[in-house]
This record gives sequence, C-alpha cells and structure tokens, in this order.
Amino acid sequence: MRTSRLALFAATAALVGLPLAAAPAGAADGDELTAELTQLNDSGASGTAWATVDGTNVEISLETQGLLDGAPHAQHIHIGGQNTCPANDKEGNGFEGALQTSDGADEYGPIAVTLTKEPGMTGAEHGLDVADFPAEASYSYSRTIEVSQEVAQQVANGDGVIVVHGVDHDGSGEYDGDTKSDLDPELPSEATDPAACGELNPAQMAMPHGGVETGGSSTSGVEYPAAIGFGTLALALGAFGLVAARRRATI
Amino acid sequence: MKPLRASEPTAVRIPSIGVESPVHGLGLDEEGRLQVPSGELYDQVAWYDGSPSPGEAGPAVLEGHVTGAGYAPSVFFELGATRRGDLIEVDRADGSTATFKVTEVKSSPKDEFPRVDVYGATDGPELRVITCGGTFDKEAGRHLDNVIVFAKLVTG
Repeated sequence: MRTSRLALFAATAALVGLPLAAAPAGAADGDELTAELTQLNDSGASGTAWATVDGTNVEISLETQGLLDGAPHAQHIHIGGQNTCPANDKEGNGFEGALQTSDGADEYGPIAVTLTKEPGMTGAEHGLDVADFPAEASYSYSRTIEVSQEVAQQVANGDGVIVVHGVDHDGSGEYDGDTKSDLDPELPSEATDPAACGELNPAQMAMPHGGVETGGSSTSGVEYPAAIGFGTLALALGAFGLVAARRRATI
Repeated sequence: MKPLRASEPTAVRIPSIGVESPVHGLGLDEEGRLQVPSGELYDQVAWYDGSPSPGEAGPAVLEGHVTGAGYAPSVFFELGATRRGDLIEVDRADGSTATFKVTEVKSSPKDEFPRVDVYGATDGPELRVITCGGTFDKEAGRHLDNVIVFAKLVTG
C-alpha cells in the first residue's frame, strides 16, 4: 500500500524533473515518532510523546497529566522485551498487586535512555537520579540526547517505549508505604512503580506544523503564493518520496 | 478493523450534519503547514495527500473551511455539531466506501494545536476532520481555534 503512494510521489517528482536520490540511502534521520501515554496501575496519568532521530541525537518531548504533584517522576525510553506496554489491569508484585517496574519488563524491556532534565546524565545507569526528573502533576519535557548508534536505530525503528514512574497508591500525597522498590530498596515502591506508558511508533505521515487556517476571510481568495514555484513543490514532493521509501525499509 | 489498500478519497458525506462534498488533495506549504482549499475549490473538502488514504492504517486527514468571504457558511460550518457515534463516509477512487465512526470532537486553540493527538501514529485506520472555530479575531482576521473530529474505521 505504501508502494503506490511512493510510486505516486516518484511519478510526480519525475514529472517535474527532480531526481529522488538526493539523500543518503538508508538514513532514518528526520522521521517523526509519536506515542500516546496511557495509565498503568490505575494511576490516572496520561500524556503524549514525540521524538525524532538525527544521527545519534534523539530529540524527545513529553507532555504529561494526572501524575502525583510535588514528587519526582523517573522517565525513560525502554527498549527490549516485546517493545510494548503492559495492560493497565496487569498486576504485579507490589502494594496490593501493584505492577512494579520489573513486572513489566517482558513487555517493555530494560531502560535504554534516562530522560533527565539538563544537565542530568542520560545513561541507563542513571535511571534513578531522582533529583533530575520533573516533579509536577502535569509537565512539558523536552531534550535532545546523544545515544549510541544502536539505540538511535532502535528508536527510529519504533522499538522505544516511554515509561513514566511514580504512583501514589495509597493517596497519601507522597511516596511512602512499606513496600520497597524492586529497583532500589532505599526507595518506596511508589517512587518507581510505572504510572504511564506509551509505544513510540513512526508517524504514518510527514506531520503538518501549526494549526489549520480553515477560517473565513483570512483565507478566502488567497491563492498559493507565487513563491511556491514548481521548484519548491518538487523539492517537497521529493522529500515525501524519500520519507515513504525510508518507511518501507524500516517498518 | 483491517486496513484497506491505499486509494485516494474522492468524496465525503457526514449525514448527521448534511455535509456532502467532493474531495481534492492538498499538501504542505514551505513552512510545513497544511494548505487549505482555495479558488474554485474553496468550499470543498481537501485531503492532506501526505497522510494515509482513508481506510489505510494511520490517521487520514480531511479539512474544510467553516466560513468563506463575508462569513458565509462553508462546507464545515456545522462540523462542531457532530457527536460521538456519528458516521462519516468516504468514497475512494477504487470504488469502495470507507465508513468511520466519530469517537471524539475537540476544540483547541491554534497555538496549542494537539499535533501528536491529531497526526501521530495510530494502530488502525482512523480519520481526522479539521476546520476552524471558536472566537473570530477581527483584527487578525482569523478564528482562534481549530475544531477536530476524531473517528475510527468501522466498515470498508
């Protein structure tokens, strides 16, 4: 099905005389990935994630809601397992059957990248650098992180899973309780239990920017600006063709 | 729902609000923004031709104007009145019709456009139908919000 769209763009580019081989073959740079974050452990948390890979740089942003306010939320890109999220009703070894982080490892695998704020460290071994994580109920997080070539390729392929941690099971307003974290016995399990999860998948299009100007008089009668000549159009179409080609290779 | 093969949309109907329109393809402008219907096609629905075709896996994107010159109603004047469960039928070039069911109707300020929700990856075939709404800013000459209808394929 992608073949025909690719063919269409290729044909269009050919019509306007643009060679399609303008970028290095096999590059995954610039593809956008998105994730819808949904709750685990009935945490009430949700959100979205967006990422793009440029060489070994992963630019990533998260928008979250419904987390425990005033407590740090460890957040990572996990890679491995089945590269999926557990179901919200999946139970584990935590407080009254709560899912602990390691209980979901079959689905999302181990930590690959730690999503700390600048200038926190981002390696897997820094997964619990609690001072470096966002600590609000709702937050916007954005950072560009250098990763290994392998991780960059895995994220670009759609193998990354975003997990945000920290669940106030007993509603006390802070991380506490007798159950200790499966990751660090010095921490209560509430501090590290997964609260939200989302699979980073390649977007199925070049995602438009900004809102859509489908209003009234602002747009009526305005034809395409002359500046968008055939050259620009052809370049854009060529880029689409390449994106389509890359997707075929990576999905 | 199993995705359909790629086939470009030719017409769309939303019976609950009396919409019936041919569909043409549009791309992005040089800033990566979605172009909008203009000229003779101003009052018709457009499909973003970089998005999946309706019925393919992923979110197919349709858009249309809410009003035209002099604030005359355009094709999606009533789009904000659609409700969860309403049906949207899209005819395709291969002769098939993809039918979607509305799952959510959102209004969002344009400067906080929920880009990931609207254009981000989906597991199955979905549809996004976009127009303008909210307050009309007379100084800027534009509506401040976008109305976005989210729908999922039910039959193809």
